[in-house]
Amino acid sequence: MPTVTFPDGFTLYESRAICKYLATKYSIPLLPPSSDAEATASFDEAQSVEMLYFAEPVTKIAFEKFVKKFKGLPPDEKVVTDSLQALETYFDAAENLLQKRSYMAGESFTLVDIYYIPLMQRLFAVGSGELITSHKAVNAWYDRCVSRPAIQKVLAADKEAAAAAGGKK
Amino acid sequence: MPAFVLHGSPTSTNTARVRLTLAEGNFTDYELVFLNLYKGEQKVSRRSFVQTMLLPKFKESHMVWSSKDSS
Repeated sequence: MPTVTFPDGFTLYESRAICKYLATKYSIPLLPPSSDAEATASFDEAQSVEMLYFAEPVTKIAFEKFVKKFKGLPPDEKVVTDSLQALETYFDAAENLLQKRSYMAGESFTLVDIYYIPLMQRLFAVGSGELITSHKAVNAWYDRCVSRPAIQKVLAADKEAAAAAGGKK
Repeated sequence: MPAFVLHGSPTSTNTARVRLTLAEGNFTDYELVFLNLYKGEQKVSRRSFVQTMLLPKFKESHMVWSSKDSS
């Protein structure tokens, strides 16, 4: 999950591939112009960095502290510690980068910034938000991302849905 | 009929990425189907994925392999 299925049977899975396809198909301005080779290369670079150095350790922490909790299993503290250490190193590098540019792939908000948002939220949810707030430029970038009206609307709806689901339990 | 169907989970960060992308484009012409992970609905989805996506691709590649093998 997720998957998208079109009436003609075309089906796609893998969230980043889906996002890129939808942005292209519906002209959502979240990708660099394909004619701009340098901007496209910077986008691809930022996407690889997000996947390898950010998403991987956050996913491990989320699994240990979030998923395992629901399964009634204790977290593997070594995995958590190692992943937090990897993230600290990553955020130090991101801090340097974001002192020089406004968004992860350059001066424009792109899909790469969107890729970060749900896992950044997960970091706060598992009590590791200080990793973000302790890095001034990273924190300012994150604020810029989640202050966007469309992003705010989705996050507010999710928060409301989670509160309603929690109330039903 | 909506432009497409998005299957996901309300707690999935991967699904959230796609929804945020569509929201940025103010794109609402799609059907969002949330699967309940606790009821194992994603397993039905996974089975459907194997049947519709992987098996045909496997059969296709196997046929290519077989024809090369026999030549």
